[in-house]
Amino acid sequence: MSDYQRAIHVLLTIVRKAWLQLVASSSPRAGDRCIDKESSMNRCDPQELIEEREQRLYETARRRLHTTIDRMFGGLMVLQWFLGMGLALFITPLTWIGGIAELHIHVWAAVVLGGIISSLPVYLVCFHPAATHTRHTIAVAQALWSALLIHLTGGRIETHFHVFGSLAFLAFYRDWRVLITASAVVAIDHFLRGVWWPQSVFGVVLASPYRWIEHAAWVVFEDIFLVASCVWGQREMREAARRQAQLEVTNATIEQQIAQRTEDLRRATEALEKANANLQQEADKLAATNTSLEKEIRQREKAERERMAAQQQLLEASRAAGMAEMATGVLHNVGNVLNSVNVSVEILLDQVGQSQLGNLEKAVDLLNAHRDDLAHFFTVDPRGPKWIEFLNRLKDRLNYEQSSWKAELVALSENVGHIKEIVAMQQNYARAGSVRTTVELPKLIDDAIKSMGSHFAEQGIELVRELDPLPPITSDKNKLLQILINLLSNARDAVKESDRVDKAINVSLHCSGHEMAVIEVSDNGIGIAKDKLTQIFRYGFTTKKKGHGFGLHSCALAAKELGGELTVHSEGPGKGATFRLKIPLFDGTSHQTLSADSKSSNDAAIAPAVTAEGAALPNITAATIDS
Amino acid sequence: MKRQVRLIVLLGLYVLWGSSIVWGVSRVLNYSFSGDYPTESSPDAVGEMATSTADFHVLVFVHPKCPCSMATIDNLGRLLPRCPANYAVTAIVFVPEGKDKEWATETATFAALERLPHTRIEFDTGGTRIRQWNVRRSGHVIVKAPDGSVAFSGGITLERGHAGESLGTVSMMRVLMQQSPPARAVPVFGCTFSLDSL
Repeated sequence: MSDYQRAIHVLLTIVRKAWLQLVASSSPRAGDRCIDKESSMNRCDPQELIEEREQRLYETARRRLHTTIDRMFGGLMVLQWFLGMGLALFITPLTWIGGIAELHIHVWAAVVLGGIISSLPVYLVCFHPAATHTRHTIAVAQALWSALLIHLTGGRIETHFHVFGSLAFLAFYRDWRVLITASAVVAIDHFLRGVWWPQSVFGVVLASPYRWIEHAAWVVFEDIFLVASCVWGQREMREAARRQAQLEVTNATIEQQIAQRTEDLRRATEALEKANANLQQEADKLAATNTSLEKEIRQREKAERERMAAQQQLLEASRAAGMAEMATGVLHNVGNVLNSVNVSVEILLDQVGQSQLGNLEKAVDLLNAHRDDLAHFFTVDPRGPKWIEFLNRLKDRLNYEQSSWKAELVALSENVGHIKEIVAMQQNYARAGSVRTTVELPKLIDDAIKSMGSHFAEQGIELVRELDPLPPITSDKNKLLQILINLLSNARDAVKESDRVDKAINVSLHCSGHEMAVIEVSDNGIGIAKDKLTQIFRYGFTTKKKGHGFGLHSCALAAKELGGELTVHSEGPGKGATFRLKIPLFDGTSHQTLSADSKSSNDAAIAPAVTAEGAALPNITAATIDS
Repeated sequence: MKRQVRLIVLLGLYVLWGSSIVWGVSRVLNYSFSGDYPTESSPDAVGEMATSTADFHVLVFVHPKCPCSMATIDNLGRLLPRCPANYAVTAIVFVPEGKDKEWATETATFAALERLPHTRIEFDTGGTRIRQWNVRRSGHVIVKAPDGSVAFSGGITLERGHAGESLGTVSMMRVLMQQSPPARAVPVFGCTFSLDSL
């Protein structure tokens, strides 16, 4: 292959590449493809996003750079055109043919050829900015301008610097291919002129056919550095694009995260507001509930006060009932005594009515009638001798009457004394209020029994006392007496209702430990069903037909007030019952909680009067002591 | 389709642009290389030069308004001072018939001629000397050897108005240095004197 054929082959190759670049530059830009892909960026991972964004930024920056440089070259093309025309007009304005001057061909070349060279680049800058073929065309035009300016300046070697300046300027594109294009044009120019007009470049004789290569080599020498500069510039642009892409993606990620966090925060705020609203509603409801509760509390406090008042009234009523019971007993006893008094009085009246005082009066009248003849009367009168018998009989009668009257009067006096004692005892225990005094429990039990009068014996009830000698205690005698009378009365009623013949009531007193005194009232009466044991102290509960249900209730309350407790034990109906009253031996335990007796806590038949402080009063049951 | 049309239009523009450039360049090159080989000078003229005392006599024919001749003058001004030979330079300045010397002296070309060292300027009104030497274009250089022969005749520029090394410069310098020149006759690129007698 000859040198020319090789050169033509190279030229065809360059043309083919230029055509491919032209076609490629007319196709959609890579940046546009990136823009098209932007819609799918959401599907990419961050690295892919960065790469795509980097490519897009790089293409954008490059396009902006190319557009800017295109515009600069567009202006330069116009400037070079005017420069060429100026140079031609200044240096070679006219050409002479003898004495005739004509416009120099350089002027025409500057105007026409320079205009042609600049026209297409300017057109492409205006209508195809940043296109690949635009800058390659500019490169070609700039190389042509170098050749034209060199020609217009008469081949001044200084003008050759336009070539190197143009290459440096073209390097602004940061596209080394443009340098190759411009350099190729320069080389081709030299080559072609070396072939067809060798004298225009090197001289026909002296220059070697390959001298254009030497010229081109210097261009290549500059191109090496310019290409390196372009490559570095592209790397810098790509690096800047990568950094910006990373920054943008990072910012976008952060913004997305911020948006997500903001959305989450907004949702959380909404949820919080909703929760607050619900909480407010709950608070309102709670406030309403509180109001209701306060109202209810006030109502309950009021009810409690009313209950306490009622309780107090109940206690008073119970105490009054006890006193009534006691008064009933007293009156009953007084009535019984009064019966005896009445009988004694009637006997005395009968005896007085049957007295021989009338006969004595008749005898005295008879004697008065015979005062004057007493002798006669005693001797003669038949009635005289009877006087002795009469007087004996009168003596016997009067003796009898005296003894009878004396006995009746003694009994009457005893009965009156008995009444006095009953009244005195009643006065002693009938004082209202709670007064803690020294109490001798055995005497108190005796007093309670005495208050019951002779009912037990008269009704065939055997009353057995088993009283241990205990030291005196400090307590409320009235309440203790009230409790004992109630218990005795209930025992009496229970025994009376029983069909047993051996009716008996046992009253015992003993110690429980070192602190409590225990008074037990046991009977063998009708007993208490187990299911009623738990209700026996409840207020209003009674097994009696005429009962009111507050006797035992008040007793249990009184026992609590005394610091003790009242419990009941029964084996069942017909098997009697035992009420156990525990009283503190020493003062200061008045507020002890009442509970079932420890000895009987496992006994199902024993019912506690009070199981807890708070629930004490409502749970207190009572067996009536109604009578 | 629209893109193809645009491509075709663009391609047409390129073809038009390229062909226009080729046409323009060819025109410029044709003009630039529009030169003539020197013709033989008349013996009278050569004999006249032989009376000079210098070994070599350099004649340069200049149209004072020819811008292309500036390159010839530049080459002479650059080369002759470095030539060790004994030479004399005579610049034949053409003055058309009916024109005075001021017509020739008010040009940059004449000013450049005046700056040439050891140069005698001779106005050739009506082109008598030019006809005598049978010179057709401005910038023609003739070197007369000590023996009176014409050792070199032609242009010393690559083309019209282009200074620098050329076949003419090399040949002229070798003749002046009494060496064998690559060419004794080189085309002259410059404005024509266009004398009727030529």
